[in-house]
Amino acid sequence: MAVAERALGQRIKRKEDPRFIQGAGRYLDDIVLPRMLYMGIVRSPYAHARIRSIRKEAALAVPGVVAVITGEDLDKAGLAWMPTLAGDRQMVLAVGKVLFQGQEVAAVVAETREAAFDGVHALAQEVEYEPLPVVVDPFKALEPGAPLVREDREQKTNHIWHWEVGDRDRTERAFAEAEVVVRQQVYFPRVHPAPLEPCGCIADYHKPTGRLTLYVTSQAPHAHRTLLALVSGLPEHKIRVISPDVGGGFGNKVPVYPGYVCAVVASLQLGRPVKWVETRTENLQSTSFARDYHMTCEIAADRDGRVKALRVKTVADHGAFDAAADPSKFPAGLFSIVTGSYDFPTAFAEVDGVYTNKAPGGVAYRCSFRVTEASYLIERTMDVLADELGMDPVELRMKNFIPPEKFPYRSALGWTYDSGNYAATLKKAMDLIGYWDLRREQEERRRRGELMGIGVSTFTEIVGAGPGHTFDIAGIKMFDSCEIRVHPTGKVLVRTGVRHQGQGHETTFAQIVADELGIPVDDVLVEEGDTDTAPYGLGTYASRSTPTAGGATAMAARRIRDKARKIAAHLLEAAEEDVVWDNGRFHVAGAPGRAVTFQEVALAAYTNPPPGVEPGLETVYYYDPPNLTFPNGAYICVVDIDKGTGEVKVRRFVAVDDCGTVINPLVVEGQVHGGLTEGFGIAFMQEIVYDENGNNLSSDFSSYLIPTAMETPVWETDRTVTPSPHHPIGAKGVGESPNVGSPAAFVNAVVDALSHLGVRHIDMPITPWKVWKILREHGIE
Amino acid sequence: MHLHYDGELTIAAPQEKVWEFINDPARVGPCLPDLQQLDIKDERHFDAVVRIGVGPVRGRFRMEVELQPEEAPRRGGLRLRGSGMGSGLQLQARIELEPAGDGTTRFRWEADADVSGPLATVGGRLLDNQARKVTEQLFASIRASLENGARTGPAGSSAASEGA
Repeated sequence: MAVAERALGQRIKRKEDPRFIQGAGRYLDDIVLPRMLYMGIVRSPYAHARIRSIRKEAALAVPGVVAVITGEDLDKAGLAWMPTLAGDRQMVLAVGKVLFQGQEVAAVVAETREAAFDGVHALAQEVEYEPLPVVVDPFKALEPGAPLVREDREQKTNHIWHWEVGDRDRTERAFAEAEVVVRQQVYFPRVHPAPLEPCGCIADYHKPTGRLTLYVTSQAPHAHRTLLALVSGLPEHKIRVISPDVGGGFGNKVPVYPGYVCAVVASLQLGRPVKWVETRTENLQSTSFARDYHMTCEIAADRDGRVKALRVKTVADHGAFDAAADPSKFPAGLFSIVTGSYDFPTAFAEVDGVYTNKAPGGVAYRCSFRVTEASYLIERTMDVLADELGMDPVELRMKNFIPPEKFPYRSALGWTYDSGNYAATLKKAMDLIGYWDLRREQEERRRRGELMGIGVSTFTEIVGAGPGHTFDIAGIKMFDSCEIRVHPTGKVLVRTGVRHQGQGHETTFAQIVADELGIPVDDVLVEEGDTDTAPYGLGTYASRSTPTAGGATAMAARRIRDKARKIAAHLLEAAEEDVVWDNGRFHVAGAPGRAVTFQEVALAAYTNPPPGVEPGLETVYYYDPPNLTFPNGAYICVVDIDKGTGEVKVRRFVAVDDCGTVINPLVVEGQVHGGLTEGFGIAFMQEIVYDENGNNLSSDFSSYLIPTAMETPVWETDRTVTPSPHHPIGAKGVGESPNVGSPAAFVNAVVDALSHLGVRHIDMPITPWKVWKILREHGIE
Repeated sequence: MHLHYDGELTIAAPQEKVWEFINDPARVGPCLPDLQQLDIKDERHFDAVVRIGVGPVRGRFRMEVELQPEEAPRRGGLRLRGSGMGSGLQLQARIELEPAGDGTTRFRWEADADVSGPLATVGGRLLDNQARKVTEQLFASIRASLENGARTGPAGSSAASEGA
């Protein structure tokens, strides 16, 4: 029964897809429990206001409404505030005042969804507010006399924290001595992960046993269980968190939201299951946004284009609460990857976090903690430098890449890049797209007055958080785990501490195990998302699943194989050291005919274990990665601009990714397609916009645009492979690379199309209106 | 969402009469378009409920109005706080009157309003037109009441459709 072909690297269709494409997935809202109640949330229309009074009577009079919970009610139980993952605290329900539009003010619980909706509307009329001055601009928030967002803090300022990294003095000196300095202000707008399935939960407290089961749209079920235990005071062994099929997360389902806590409180009070599912508008208005980074980047260089130093200053708008989901020691995430793929001798970066009257965040939207911001900034500013020097962006990059022989490479800001061959990856992308031919075509078109641009982005990501010596969330080290159970018939159940939301773990992790044990992929079932059955782990985000849980999976499978070898030796009546593993079989050295299959060994583990060896064939492996992984890529985008309408057409887009060892090329391509599409939306279509009163003007899909098949360009993908030297199978993670690397490629292409007009930068989103105005300013009709 | 409007109209009535009218809750209150309920608190304050529809955002809107005469019969103002449909409105208006000859009065006004909630986020793109329409109706109603010599009650629909 041994398989001849290695499972690793096979283009296998995703095992999870049949249930999804048949509409047979089991998402949160598909779950209906007996005696279940429904909860709705009353939200603040104001961005900043005192709450004068909340009158419950009208809502309680609505037929079917059973309870109304306010911030005051929670305050009495000590639950009005909860900790955020960033070490701040956040109101569960507003106490005293509201700090952003859409903030949770009260919860209404009712027998039906409709009654809850009616109750919410009735209660909303009965909340009296005293509006306060609003601040939505982080720079204004730092001025003296600005409205104070957080009265609960000791420091009476909107400044949250200052974080810096690198050698300031050496960097200053390098700038003082530099032949060329460029400086570019870049705003990465506030965007939203906007998963198609919004957030929700069912809290089910069973009074007789004291058990709480929380079904929740969660990317990190175990972390949520521990946080829930800490917040609620319930014993952790009596809490079970189940994250069913998740309809997209992208970072949006990492935090704990007030709705979850309210549903838990309601279920504890009422002893019945309570379901809460937010609407699209609630998702866009109140759950974690991403980015909103105001960045200034300076590069010092020689005339011939060698970069000498990098200096970055950033103001980070976190909204009303610092609800970023970053590892605890990293308030600005892994923004220090901002030196990118380039060999900077020195660098210095600083970030200041600021409160404003906007929704709290910001999460890592399909990126590893502020890595998209950093990659976009360096890739944009390298183009500005190329323009200043009159060099081709490709030549400037080739000149400054970290050379292959320098890996493992220690960056000026302290990271150790594991592996890469940047020049080869870029070369491959250039060949695929016909780079120099395109440049010639561009010259011809310019002569004819046509606008065509070519944008290059050669990014390096930092993912797979991470090593326990550096990375923790609220003290919990960011290892991950895998449990493998081999059944007597040789079939295998795998459980991990992460939770996929479209990454394909049920397929790729099965391939890892199948490859290590030499068995068919179909003999492996991967289960995730239930804290009662899965080993402890920190969840799926930051492209960490394959680097951490994938590593754990390979190591667990090897442990299984080690034990299988002992059993095989017993069956073959040979010494253990004389037993040879051959992809699914063990045979005696020098006698390939004397062999047992893995399946025979599995059966023996239960029917005929060797003396002195524990029966059964199971293991759990906790994998603490020795380092992060550094996926990278070269993306090239070609655009044509319609002078009449300002519309940008993406003619071609080539993405060459290096994510180390590829487990499943089909899954990698799918991930890259998805990430590029989201990057396209960010570059051209999306922004969460607030007006001066703090109204969120992008709170539905008619104002916050999601790319559909109509707008999405055709993607051309390819790969180079430099395995990670420290990962058990050499894999690096890929899900986020396209979202990290692509925005700069799109923007660089548009700016390149307009560079002969003197345009050096355009902030996203690059809408037709924005381009049209720029063209008119430059006299192009 | 911050809105600013201003305008000027001439009313065929003497300045004193116009001044009295617009500072009398019992007379100016009924001029509010789509009025459903009027509750006069005192000579400076009244509460009103009106129907509002801005695109998909429709419902009843409660308003607390304070009349702010400053210098009779020339300068005054009006403060309005409204809430409903999960939204909030704060409005401050300033008014100036001066004689325009032949017993008519020039009525200058400007108003600044801040809108929060679905009225702004969902109705935002439609709000401006709607606000202009409501304002026009309000002034048409005031003018019609004064020019027809009516003491109380809202103007007829024919008068309201004249515009300001």
